[in-house]
Amino acid sequence: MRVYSPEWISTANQRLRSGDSAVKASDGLSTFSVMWALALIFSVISHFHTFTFRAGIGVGILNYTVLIWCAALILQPRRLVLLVGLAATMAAQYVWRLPVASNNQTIAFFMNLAIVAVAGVALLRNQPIEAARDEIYERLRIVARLLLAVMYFYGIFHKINTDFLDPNASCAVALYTKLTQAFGLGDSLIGRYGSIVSTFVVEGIAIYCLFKRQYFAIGLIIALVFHYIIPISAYSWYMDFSSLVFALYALSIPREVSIAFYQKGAKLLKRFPSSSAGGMAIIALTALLFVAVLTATGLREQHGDLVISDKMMWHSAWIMIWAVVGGVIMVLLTIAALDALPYRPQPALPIPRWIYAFPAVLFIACLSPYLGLKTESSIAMFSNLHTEGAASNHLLIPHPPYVADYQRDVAMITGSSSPRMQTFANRELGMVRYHLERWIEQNPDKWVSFTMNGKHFERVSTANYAVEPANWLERKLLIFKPVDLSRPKVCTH
Amino acid sequence: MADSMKRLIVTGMSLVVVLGIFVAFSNLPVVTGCGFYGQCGAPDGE
Repeated sequence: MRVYSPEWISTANQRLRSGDSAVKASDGLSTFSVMWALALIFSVISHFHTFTFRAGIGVGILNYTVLIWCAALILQPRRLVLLVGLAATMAAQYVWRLPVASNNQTIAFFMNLAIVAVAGVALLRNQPIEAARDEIYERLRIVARLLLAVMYFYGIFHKINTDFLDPNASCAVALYTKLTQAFGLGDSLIGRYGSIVSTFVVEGIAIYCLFKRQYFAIGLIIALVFHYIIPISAYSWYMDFSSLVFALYALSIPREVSIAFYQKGAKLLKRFPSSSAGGMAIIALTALLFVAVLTATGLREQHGDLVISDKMMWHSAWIMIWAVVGGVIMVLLTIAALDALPYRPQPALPIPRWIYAFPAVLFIACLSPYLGLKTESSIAMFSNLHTEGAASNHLLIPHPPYVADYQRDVAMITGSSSPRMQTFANRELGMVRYHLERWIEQNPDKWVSFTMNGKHFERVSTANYAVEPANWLERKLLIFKPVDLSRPKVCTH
Repeated sequence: MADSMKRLIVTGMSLVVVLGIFVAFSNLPVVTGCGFYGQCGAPDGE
């Protein structure tokens, strides 16, 4: 059954033809392809150690391959096979790497899975991929919009906790301080409370405008600014997350806005001498990287008294790139959105129910912290949320309704022969029992001392402690944050 | 939406980018000596 009638596609295309008969609704898919490639670049390059092959030759080669693939997609964004192939590769490597803590990689996984499934269904019906672009585009737009909605929902819900609302501990304040200290406003109490409140307001407006399409431009512009400034706080990498959100917006915004954005970007790039806009984009990105690395190197040498690792230098270089690239994308998207106003949404389209499975599964998976399951990879990043030890700082769920006991027992680390584990002891951090037992299993030559349920365990290793074995599913799906029982809870991932 | 309002918004967004680049430079780990989560003076784990 074709969900999109030829008449509907024709009407949609008609709306876009303002003198250019070559423009099609599904050209927005090319826009998304470029933005998705950029988002994957910002994600892949965040793993600094993989580029020096410290994480293994296989992973290193895979990351370089993905980068080349992204470049090919930027050069030929209409080649749907490149997008689908890249999505399949990224989805497969995510499954292989499970459990993955990264929230943006988890959201990207569901999008990649949707790309593969939607294109796969088109192929199974003997539709050539290129011919099925319209249908694929319309279905993926729904997925992108709902993934953004799930992200913003949990972006608000997980933060309804005592520590996020505390101006001395809130992650909103941690970022606010970094973003405003250059202006001497980092200590402003009004600013601190304002950053907490504005987080809820911005994410609330964003989610509302995702569904009230006539106001899409308001939600888009506010979200663009919000996600643009977060990475320049340098509090964490963030660029992978922000570029992912930009890409999902590029797919979910009205078709004409997406196409206008692409055309404006291409026009800007064609001002420079190059055979194609995509080619110029690659050259510009490479040139920016070169200048940014040189600048970071120069600054590092100027501040010789500071302890600066190679990873910090890499991070610095990419913050510079994000400040420029993210900024240009933000302004071009804003212009394209404003040009489309006033916007009259088209009637809702029939979408097969299975399309909703991708955001629905993500939504359910993100309930995990309250159910006693994983605490990482639940869109609870930088939310100050804690749910371990059968108690939570969440204002609506103070006693999490665990369906599993993985978070019930917390071991406070007191010492270890492992330097990494010793930092847990130094910082008075704990681990849920499951997490600790996996560590003991994987480090048979190391010992750890800890206190759990009022009992002290000294120099525990595989030789003197019987760990409860984990099955394959547990090993693949469960991943936990270090447990910080101090209050207020300091802001971390 | 009036053209003047559109121009105002685009100008505002451009200003955000200029400010963003300034803030980005002042926050660079190679300038502040701070890694992830505001941890200063110690290299990030790699």
